[in-house]
Amino acid sequence: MNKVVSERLGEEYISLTHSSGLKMKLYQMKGFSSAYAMFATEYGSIDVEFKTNKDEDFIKIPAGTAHFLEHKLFESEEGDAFSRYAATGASANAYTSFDRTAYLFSCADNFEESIEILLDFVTNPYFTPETVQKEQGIIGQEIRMYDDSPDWRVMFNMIEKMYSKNSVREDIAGTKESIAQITADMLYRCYRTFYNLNNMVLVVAGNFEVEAVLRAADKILKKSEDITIERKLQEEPNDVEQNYVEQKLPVADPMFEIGFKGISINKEENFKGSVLDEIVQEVMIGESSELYSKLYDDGLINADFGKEAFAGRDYIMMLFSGESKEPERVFAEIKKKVAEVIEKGVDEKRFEMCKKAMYGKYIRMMDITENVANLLLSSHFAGTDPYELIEVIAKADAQTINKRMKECYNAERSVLSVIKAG
Amino acid sequence: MVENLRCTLKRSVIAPGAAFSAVCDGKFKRNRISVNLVLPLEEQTVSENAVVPFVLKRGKNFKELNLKLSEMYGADLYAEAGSFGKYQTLSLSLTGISDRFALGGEKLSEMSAQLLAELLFEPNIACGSFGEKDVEIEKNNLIKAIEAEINEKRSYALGRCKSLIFAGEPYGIKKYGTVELAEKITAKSAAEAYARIIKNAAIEIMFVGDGDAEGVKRVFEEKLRLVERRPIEMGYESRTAPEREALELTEEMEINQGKLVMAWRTNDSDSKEKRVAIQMMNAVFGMTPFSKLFVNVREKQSLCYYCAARFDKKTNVLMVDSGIEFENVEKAKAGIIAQLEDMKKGNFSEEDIEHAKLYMKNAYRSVGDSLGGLEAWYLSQILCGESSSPEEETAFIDGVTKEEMVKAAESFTLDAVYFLKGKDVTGDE
Repeated sequence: MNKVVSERLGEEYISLTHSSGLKMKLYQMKGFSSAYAMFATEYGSIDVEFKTNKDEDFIKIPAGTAHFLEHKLFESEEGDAFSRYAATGASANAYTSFDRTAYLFSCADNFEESIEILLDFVTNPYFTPETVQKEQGIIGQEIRMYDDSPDWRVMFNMIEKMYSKNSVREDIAGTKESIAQITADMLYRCYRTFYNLNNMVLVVAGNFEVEAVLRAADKILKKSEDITIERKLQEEPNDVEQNYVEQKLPVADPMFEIGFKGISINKEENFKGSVLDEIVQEVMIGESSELYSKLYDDGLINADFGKEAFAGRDYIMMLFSGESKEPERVFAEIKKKVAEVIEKGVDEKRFEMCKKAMYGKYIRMMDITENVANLLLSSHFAGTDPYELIEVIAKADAQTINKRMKECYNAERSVLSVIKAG
Repeated sequence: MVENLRCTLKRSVIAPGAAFSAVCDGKFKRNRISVNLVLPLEEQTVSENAVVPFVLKRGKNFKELNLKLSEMYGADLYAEAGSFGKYQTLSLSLTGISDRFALGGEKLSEMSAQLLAELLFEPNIACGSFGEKDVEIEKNNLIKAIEAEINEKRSYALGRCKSLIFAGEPYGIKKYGTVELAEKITAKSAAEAYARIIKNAAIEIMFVGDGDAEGVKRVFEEKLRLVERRPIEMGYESRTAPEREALELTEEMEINQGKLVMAWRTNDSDSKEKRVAIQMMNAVFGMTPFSKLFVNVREKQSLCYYCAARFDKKTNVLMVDSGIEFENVEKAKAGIIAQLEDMKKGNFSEEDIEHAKLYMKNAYRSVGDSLGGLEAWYLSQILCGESSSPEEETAFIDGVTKEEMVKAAESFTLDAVYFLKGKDVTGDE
């Protein structure tokens, strides 16, 4: 058991590996009434071809399998996990992203019973051809819902044109056709590979007893034999596949997503780098920038304009999104700005101010149980921790940023995705 | 129980029709101050009022203002125009880190209050008119926002169903009004709206989180002393629904998934006990992932990804919405109606009731863990003329009986069915 301390925040949390092989990050937050727990595996939509050291051959699975498996784990022979949580009052859910699947709950009472349920249902898979088929109807409607969501489409259309080989270009939920190929056997193989406790983490933030977590783990978890997972990765060119993509959907003004493709190093460097990218985005087009004022006052962007730095195992990007009557002009202006920063570097004074704003943003994140849990989870899978991340911000300097921008980005490696009315 | 005292409300009147409420809690690393201006929701003024918080948010110099926010560790300034029952709510809010995290010992909460107060009471108005450009920009944004309601189909369908139910009533007025009304906004009309708002609105200032609440209160007290006030009388009553045959409307759009919205009305919610019984009934019927709608319509019938119910105590309307294949609409309607019929017949167990109680208590007990949750809770309490803490509300849940829940279910009558379907639906499998 290891205490991780932040002098800056005056806080600490516990990091340990349970005898079963499961890693735990336990963050007690004084004065809070509820706890937020997540049990997660480093397995998401990007993991489409893999084997363990015990398998002969690689298996290639249809798009959307990780997400399908997430849905199916909620079921057991005795009923679904939601009905078990009903007896504790916990509010439960799960999600699948590009690089992880997480099962979660939040509760103010009956924490120990709830965490037992969480550890139990995720470690006890149960699927039959019938239950798999039933789920195809439900997920089919989830996919349909996303097909109609311009926010979702504008983002995925962009990523699809940014990456030509990397599996990050596939939709997380897959397609109606791809999920039709999923079988119970396939789900068991994915489960055996990725739901090995050595590949998983349990994070808890808020009001709970550490002892309760350990008791539940001792009671429920069986030791997982350590395995090595090998993922087959596709060689991805540095360039984007296409600079522009457009889809017609019923929307008012056109919606846009602009992406700059970065050069991936590894997941830890990508993750830390994306925090620095957030500062650069703030410098370039934060609300206090010349460019933001200009675009806003010209009616080219509105308060819905957003920006995000986003990174994973072998992908990294800077995103800018919003609604605009002329997305091409917004794209041109941002490209110009990116090129300028790469060439001349950031304005030092603005950089210091934006760094301070980013520091404030991360401090503010740390008083919401859900945010703390998510930050613990993301940083764990990236091989770091939340405190280190805050230090990356606090210690960032303009020289590092300028060097990074030159090495990682190029204004031409960018995509504009637009959704407009037909 | 000492723990819970932390998230109780301290409220005091600081000017005619203006109150300051604080929920202080040192566990937070932030605080949030919001100024909420409350007025009757009226067709003729809704849009010109709605633009005001957005124009105020620009300050006297938009760029300098944003620089200042950046210096305050990236404090979040937010403007919104919304509605609460038959009232319009206009708000400006600022969220920033606690004074104790300021690297140079700055008094951040007081600075935040000063900034908000300046934006609110020292607007960019000269000769009875806001800056032309400021109004032009925010007016266009308002129009765009109204037009963009079609973008998200789920909320669009819910909105269309509300328009159907509340036609001709204040509850049916959209928070930003209409494009036609917004087109009429001018720099002068917005300034006139501002003057009316500052004079007549009920003002609720909220401080939530960690910081110097007293300092914040003082700032607003001083500013309000200089304002001439003739505030409206706030009264709270929930809507009385008209008796009628269920309304039906089907519309078309180029979409892949149909959106079904069904609504029921009740006029039997005149006591706290009855309202809690309705919420409990709804928890078993359709609000939770162990509810009848989720278990039957989603899991057993495999018809949809979401099928959820919500009850609005201000309008006494229970709404269910679901995303489905176009051809499944009749199946879905029948499935949803069957679940409510089941509730009316009392086809649910003591265990279901126990689960609903646990679910509701968990939700109430978690309110105090987020600034947004606390602010929304207490503002809603205040606007309903109440002041219960989430903890106090919990006490009512235990008293609810099965008979009361059945009675609650029985009191609902189908009021409207709205369906958004695709154009030229021929099946494209």
